[in-house]
Parts: sequence; structure tokens; C-alpha cells
Amino acid sequence: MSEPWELSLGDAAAAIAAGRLSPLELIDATLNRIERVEPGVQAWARVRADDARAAARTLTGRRGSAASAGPLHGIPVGVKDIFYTEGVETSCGSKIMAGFVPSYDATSVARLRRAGAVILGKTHTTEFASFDPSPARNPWALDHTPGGSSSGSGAALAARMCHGALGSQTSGSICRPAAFCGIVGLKPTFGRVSRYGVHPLAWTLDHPGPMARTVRDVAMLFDAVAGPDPNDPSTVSAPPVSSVVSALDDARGRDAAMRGLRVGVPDRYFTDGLDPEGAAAYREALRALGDLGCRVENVRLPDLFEAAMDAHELIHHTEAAAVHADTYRARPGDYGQKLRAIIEAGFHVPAPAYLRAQQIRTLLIDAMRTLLRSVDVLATPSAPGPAPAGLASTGSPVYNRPFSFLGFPSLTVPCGFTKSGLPLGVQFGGRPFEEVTLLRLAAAYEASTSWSSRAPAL
Amino acid sequence: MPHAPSEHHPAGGSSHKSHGSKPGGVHALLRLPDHGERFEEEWAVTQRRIEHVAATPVPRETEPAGAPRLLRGDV
Repeated sequence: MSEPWELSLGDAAAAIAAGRLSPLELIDATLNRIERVEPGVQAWARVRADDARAAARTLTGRRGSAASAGPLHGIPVGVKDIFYTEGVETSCGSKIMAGFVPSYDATSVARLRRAGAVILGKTHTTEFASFDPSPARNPWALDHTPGGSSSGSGAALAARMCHGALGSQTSGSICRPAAFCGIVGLKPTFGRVSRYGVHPLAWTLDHPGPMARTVRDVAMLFDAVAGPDPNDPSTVSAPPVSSVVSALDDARGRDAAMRGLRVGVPDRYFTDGLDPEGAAAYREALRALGDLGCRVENVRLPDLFEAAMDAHELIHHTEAAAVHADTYRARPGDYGQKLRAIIEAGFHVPAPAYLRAQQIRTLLIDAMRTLLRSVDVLATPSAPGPAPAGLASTGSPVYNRPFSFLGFPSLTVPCGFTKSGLPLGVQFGGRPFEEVTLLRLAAAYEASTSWSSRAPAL
Repeated sequence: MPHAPSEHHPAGGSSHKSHGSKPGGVHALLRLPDHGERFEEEWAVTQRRIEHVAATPVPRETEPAGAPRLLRGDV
């Protein structure tokens, strides 16, 4: 058998369910792995080894009983440090929140625990999930950014320091680090996963979501965390969730769903600034989708698209300024330079401009609903290229931002490597609440390639 | 439109009266500290975005989105 920390989440869960591996053995192996590679990768804000061992011991004791039914029984998970964790410091990568210990779990954290997951610790985030970088490094090249803002979640997964993780995306903070780190990230539909207990960056743009090493692993986490939550009103009118893992495991249904699936290739925006290696990998991914039986066709983005991306930024800056107004008033010097610039600009966006930006959002949602009647999914590159060199920037969210603005689901899956060995991703975006379509397509694509099986040499 | 570097900056403070704001500007209204930083680059980009958004035609009956309320059956 592989080392326990090498197993995918699904394989580890199956090994535990079959009694071939105990939660305690898995946690111990994973903690040993962390001890070995974390000094180089720096993915964790804090590791709670004692808590994790205690939880794993309890779960090991329950093995074989009815109480062990959780699908994530004994699975080690990392949680981005903007998700509240009861009794565990949640500092949001900031001086402002240093020492803050929440008295409750974020809904998604509570749901992971309920499904049997063991919270290993808190992964690094950029400051308040914005753009001031964390210490985390890219496991594929330690002098490159892992992306952000879910930097530590991406890096910890790529470095095999956990089997699943939570991230959040306001512009590109799940899909960008996932692509840069060679893993899978799902930004669910707005309203599909509760924001309760997740520190806001911009209320109407924030999306919590799962990250993992394979599509099925992401689906397992999604099944655990998705669904209505009375504490987050945006989730209560969402349609019921049915198990996406079951849909993926239904091979006949999956194959049928792939045949003739209409995949749209946007005419612009998503290739502006795309680097040559990224472009080659993207073209190859589109060709592979065709080989899977998809109908790959060009589509024209609405004329409004570029203005809408400016609208996103106005909303982002204005809401961030409002979120931070009180603490910024008291402690401006305790904010990083990039977030200060955003907050300051946000204070000066006229209210009518903010509302017009939200009107443009309405118009683009309508236009993209129409576009997504002619195709089932959009396929784009996940980023303009691989993870940039250096740690001062987390790279560009430009290709991820549209789906955060729309609230439509998006997902990134590895689609190749550069000559220098850095991962590249392809992004799928789809209709509201149709995450299962993206996951099926990504699973079929993933199975047709070997990109997800590569691991960085650490 | 060209403007002096001190105009339209986001950290306005009491000297920031260039776009018709009341004396004291946004910083004074919100009781924010004027720490002297100007963030000219970010503001220049934000200004362009405001202009672009303002110039984009929007039917006046369009309701602002806010947090999206998405129903699957609408597609």
C-alpha cells in the first residue's frame, strides 16, 4: 500500500471503511508528513496536532459502530484561516484578528466534523482573503507563489499534508491557487455553501468551497458541506442537493452525460494575456474534451462582459471598505499595503456607481443565462499562465473573476505542466446549481489524463 | 481627463475638495484617519472603472443584483 498520506481522500476513506487503515494511523502519518515538508512549504497558520490525534483516537474507537457512518470518517482536512473554528484561533492572516478565538464553528466546518473529518489545523490565507500574501510557497517550486487567497489550502494539498481543504473565492481565490498547485478546486454556486462563520471580504461575492487532489475527492467534500443553512439566508432558497458523488460513481450515467455535452469556448477575455504554454495546454484540453464525445463550439460572450468585470471590482472594493471600516478607522497601520489601497479606493466609490455595478451584474447574469442555453458548460484556462515566480504577488484572478461575479459555479482541474514543471489548469463554468455537470465533465477529463496523479518532489 | 496628482485620491482628508465634496470629504465624514498615503495607482484604476461602469447603458428598471438569488429553473 502507498504511504497513507499519499492516498486520495476517496481511497483513504475506503481503506478506513474496510478496516485496512485506522483514523489514528492516517493522522499520525499525515502529521509526520507535515513535520517533514512544512518547513519548506509553510502552508499552515497553525497545526492542531493534539486535537487532531484526540479526534482520530475517538473516531478509531468508533470504527465498526453505527456512529462511524460519516463519509469522511477519519479524513484529515485543512481549513482556510478565515473559517471560524470553535476554540481555535482564527486570525485571517492579519494583525487585526490575531488572537481571536471563535466560540463556534463555521457551518461548513461543523458539517465536515459531522461527516467524520478531522480538522488538522488552519491553512494560511492572504490577509483577510485579499491580496497581501501569506508565507505559503508553491510545493512545485518553492520560490513561486501558490496563488491566493486560499494559498495554504492549495499548498497543503499539493504537498500531501492533508486530504481535503476548505477555501473561499471572492475573485479567484479557490480556482487560482488550485490551478497553480496542480489540484482541483470547486467554487460552488452562490448560495450553495453557507458563508456563516466565514470572515467576509465582500458579502455579495464571497463563495466558500472545497479543494482536494481529485475531482471525486472534491465531490465528497462538497456533498458534506453543501445545503441550506438558516444562518445564511442566501442558501435557503437554493434547490435541494442530491449527492454528486453518487452521480459520479454512476459510470453509465456519466458516460451518457458526456456524449454530446455542449462545451462553449468563449471568443475573448479568457485568452487575453494567456501565455504560450498555457494556450497550448488549453487547446489540448479542448481537443481531449472532443475526444470524450463533447461538442466543443465557439461562443460569443455578451458585449457587456468587460464592463461587468470593472463592475466586479467596484463592488469588491466598496464592500471590502464597508467590512473593514470600523477596524480600519482604529488601526489603519495594521493593514497590509494592498488591502489598504483597496479599502481606501472603496471608500471613494460613489454609491450610485456601486448600485450601477450591481445593475450591470443583473444584466450579465441574464445574458449569461441565455448563453448557457446554447451550451452546457464554458471551458476556459484557469489562469493566464503557471504560478508566477516570487512570493510578493499571488498572481492574477482575471479568468476566475467572472464566475464569482455571476455566482455561477466554476471548477478547475489540472490540464498539464510547463516545461519547468509548474502545473496548469482548465476551468469549467456552468449554470447555477449544476455543479454536478462540472464535476462529471472534470471527472471524465481527469480520467482521460494523468495530470492529477503527479506529485511535487519535496 | 487629466488632473493634478493630488486630485481624486482616495485618502482625501481635509485638503481633498477637488471633486466637489463637502469640506473634509469622505475621510472626515467617516472619521477615518488621514495617514498621508495616497494610493494613486489604485485610485487611477478605480476611477477608470467608475467611468466605464457609468458609461455602460443600463435600463433604469434594472434591479441591482446584490447577492444573487439564483433559481435553477430559470435557465
